[in-house]
Amino acid sequence: MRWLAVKLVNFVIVLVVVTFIVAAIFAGPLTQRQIQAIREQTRQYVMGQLTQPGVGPAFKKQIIQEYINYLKSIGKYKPGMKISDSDAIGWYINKLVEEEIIRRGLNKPWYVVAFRYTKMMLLFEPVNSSSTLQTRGLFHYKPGDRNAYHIIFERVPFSVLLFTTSSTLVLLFAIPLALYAARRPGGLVDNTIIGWSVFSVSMPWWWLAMVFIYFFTQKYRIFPPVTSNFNVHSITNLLAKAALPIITVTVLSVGDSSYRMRNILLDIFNEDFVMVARAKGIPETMVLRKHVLRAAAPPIVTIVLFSLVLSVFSGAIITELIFEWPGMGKLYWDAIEANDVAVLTVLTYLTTLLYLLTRLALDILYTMLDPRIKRA
Amino acid sequence: MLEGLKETTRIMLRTWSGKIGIILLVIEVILALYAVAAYYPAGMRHYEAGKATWGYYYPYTVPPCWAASDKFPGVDLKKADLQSKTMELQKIPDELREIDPDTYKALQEQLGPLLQSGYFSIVYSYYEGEFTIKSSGLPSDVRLLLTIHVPFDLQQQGKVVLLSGWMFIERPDGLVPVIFYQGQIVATSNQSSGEVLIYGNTVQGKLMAETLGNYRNSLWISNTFGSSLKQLYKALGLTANISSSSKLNPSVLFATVKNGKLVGLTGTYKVKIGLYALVNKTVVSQATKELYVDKFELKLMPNCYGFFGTDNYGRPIGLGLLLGLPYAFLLGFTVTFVSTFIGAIYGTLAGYWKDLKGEALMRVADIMLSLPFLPILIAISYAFGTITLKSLALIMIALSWAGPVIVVRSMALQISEQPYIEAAKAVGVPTKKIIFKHIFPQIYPYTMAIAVLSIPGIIVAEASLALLGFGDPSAPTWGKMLQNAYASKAVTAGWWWMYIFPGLALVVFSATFLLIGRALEPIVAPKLQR
Repeated sequence: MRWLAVKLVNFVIVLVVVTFIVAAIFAGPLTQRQIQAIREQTRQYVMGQLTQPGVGPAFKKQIIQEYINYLKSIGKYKPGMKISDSDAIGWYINKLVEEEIIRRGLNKPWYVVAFRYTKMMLLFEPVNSSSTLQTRGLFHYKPGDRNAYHIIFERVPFSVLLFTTSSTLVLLFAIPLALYAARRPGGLVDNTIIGWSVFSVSMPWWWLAMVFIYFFTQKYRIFPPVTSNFNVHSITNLLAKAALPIITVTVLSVGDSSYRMRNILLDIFNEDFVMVARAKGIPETMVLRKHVLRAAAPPIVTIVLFSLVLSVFSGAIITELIFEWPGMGKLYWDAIEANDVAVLTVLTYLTTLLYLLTRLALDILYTMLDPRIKRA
Repeated sequence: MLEGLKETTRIMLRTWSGKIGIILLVIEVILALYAVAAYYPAGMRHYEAGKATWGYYYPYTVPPCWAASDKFPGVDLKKADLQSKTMELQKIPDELREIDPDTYKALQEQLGPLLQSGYFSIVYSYYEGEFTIKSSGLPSDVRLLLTIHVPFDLQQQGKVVLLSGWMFIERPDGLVPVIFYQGQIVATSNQSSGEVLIYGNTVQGKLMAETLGNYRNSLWISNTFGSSLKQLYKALGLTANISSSSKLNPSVLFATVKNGKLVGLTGTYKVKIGLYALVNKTVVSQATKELYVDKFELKLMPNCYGFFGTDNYGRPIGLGLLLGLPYAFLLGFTVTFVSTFIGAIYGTLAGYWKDLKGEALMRVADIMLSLPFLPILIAISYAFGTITLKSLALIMIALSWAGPVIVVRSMALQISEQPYIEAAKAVGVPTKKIIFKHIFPQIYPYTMAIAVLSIPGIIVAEASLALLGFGDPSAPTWGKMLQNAYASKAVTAGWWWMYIFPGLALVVFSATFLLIGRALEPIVAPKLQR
């Protein structure tokens, strides 16, 4: 089990460093946003005090006295000079803001701030959204919750529905296609797969999504139209809305997945042990099942699943946006639109975490499927 | 080097993917060079930065001409096409009777005695032009630019008593829609300019009128025009459409109804413009009795454009595709080749140093490889705000240099265990020389194939970033065109040419490099040959 321990330790190290990178990227905007919030709160507090009957005049006197003391301390005060109220109040608010910034440690160098955010993320400390983004009250979340984690977790099932369904479909279609193509290299199916993979790798997925929406909801009204207000009335309604995104993602992934599988299978077909098996006179189906597929399983599972996961984290997050599908990818757009640093930070962190976990899981899976690797 | 390139090309041309790839590449390079030669730098910047100005010359969101069923080629009537005469009258112009008999009568009563007294006269400018429509298609848009020159002297209070004008079109079927008409006689104030600018637009479905100077009240133009359009709709029997004035289409000026459908009315149209002012002869000098059309342009916009159509700013899609090509080359090549070069050297070093140094290098590369590309790219773009193409390229290089490291390292490991490397070490060849003379040259052809294969990913990533609104604001990339299509809701509006073509350009460009890369792979790395 030593290999597993090594992998896990490696995972933790990588996770910490990658989280630090994410934190460093967002340290600037996050800090700015916090300072903005502090300034706003302080202003509201001071103005509230000033307008409060009974407290206001005394408070104002105190502010002006403090301002005069400050001016004296920097030697700019001349007796009898006129002190304007707005100057004094502005100075006082700034003073409180500065104090608060120092108290919260926001004036520290970026790496200190980044370290704090890293700790915050690794420990999953709750963060509130910095805009009007909030939960919609799906699943067991209350509507109006502003916890960034809850906002994100509420979207996860939608992404999972979309991508697990299409992944399953991809594997179902791609394995037979790849087997067929690999046994007849240069044939029609083989060339179709090659062309298809070139086509699907060389375009943004969301572009095909746009084209499909035009063809299948506008020109030929096969699927319900894509609308920006996503209301799910029933399971059938949800499935009708999910159909086109799932089809699009499947169509796009099948090409490249089957191409990769075909390459692996072709390599194995050329291996000596396959040739020997054939020479021994073992029937072709037996060769395929006992020798080729067994050898091909580990790389196929990992490479195909990994390419699928990769695609989820690259093109697919924007595909959701085009389909107005309220998953994590759409949340990226919503957070950018709302200029919500907090949600965007947590979202990037969770996406990265998920990505690393998938890599780890596939790595372990690969090692377990292929006994040769463990010893090495 | 050149020999090697020749040989590689020769072998690549044997496979069909290599053949198609090279043909496409040659075409793309020629087009990109042409784009740079013809449009760099002002023309390229103008496409994005000056997008608001394109609408003056090009129709908005018209489909490609091969997809349009009833083509309308467009009509452009300029001031030079108009016959003009300016005269001094002692009576109310007769043309007014045709447009508005009531006002004509009222004016006759009001001004008749003044004109007969001989101290007053009417300065009257009259313009007439005609054009012929031969196609039964409808114009996509009607634009009118009209600037009336009113001499400063005439505008001095007391010198000009009244000023008025009209414009109408005589259609082949005898109907006479009035484009603008000022029936009320108003005394002009002493403002200095007198320009009228009328600008029609079907996107909003109504005529937008913008008046400057004296005619700051734009309403009289659009009101006249709106009610005139409504009358036309009624005369053509299209009463259902006139309930909401935003649905009135200026194209109906040149249309008739056939089988319940609006089709273009063919024949000769006459455009007539009249301007008149009552002047006091005793005060106004002859030189200033000038009242004329300064600028005039009536444009019936074509309902299709070129092979690719135009977008919602009126920009030709085809031009955008052409201008996006050099940027795609620039970004794709810079990012992939620089990052692959860095990755190749890095991987070679990691493979050559078998001690802790190599291990440390691999840890760093492993961390770089653990960063999900697009989410991190989005995060950085967000933190930066808007980024230029140059900084985007730098960020992409920083994120993707680790791509080839693992493969390169294993190749370097193998090579560095070869006897001739051991021999070189034994003779005391410096490490630098061993790495760059013996190991790296064997590796870099393969990494070049990797670079070529990763160009599509870079182009697609740029497009994705642009879609999210993080594109370079001044570079006309295909991603920006797609973003514009998405932002203008082209999908629901049915403007398919706005996103199909830029997307296809992306696909063809990316496919070129995938095809070349896949044809290259077996040549540069014979072990992978199947």
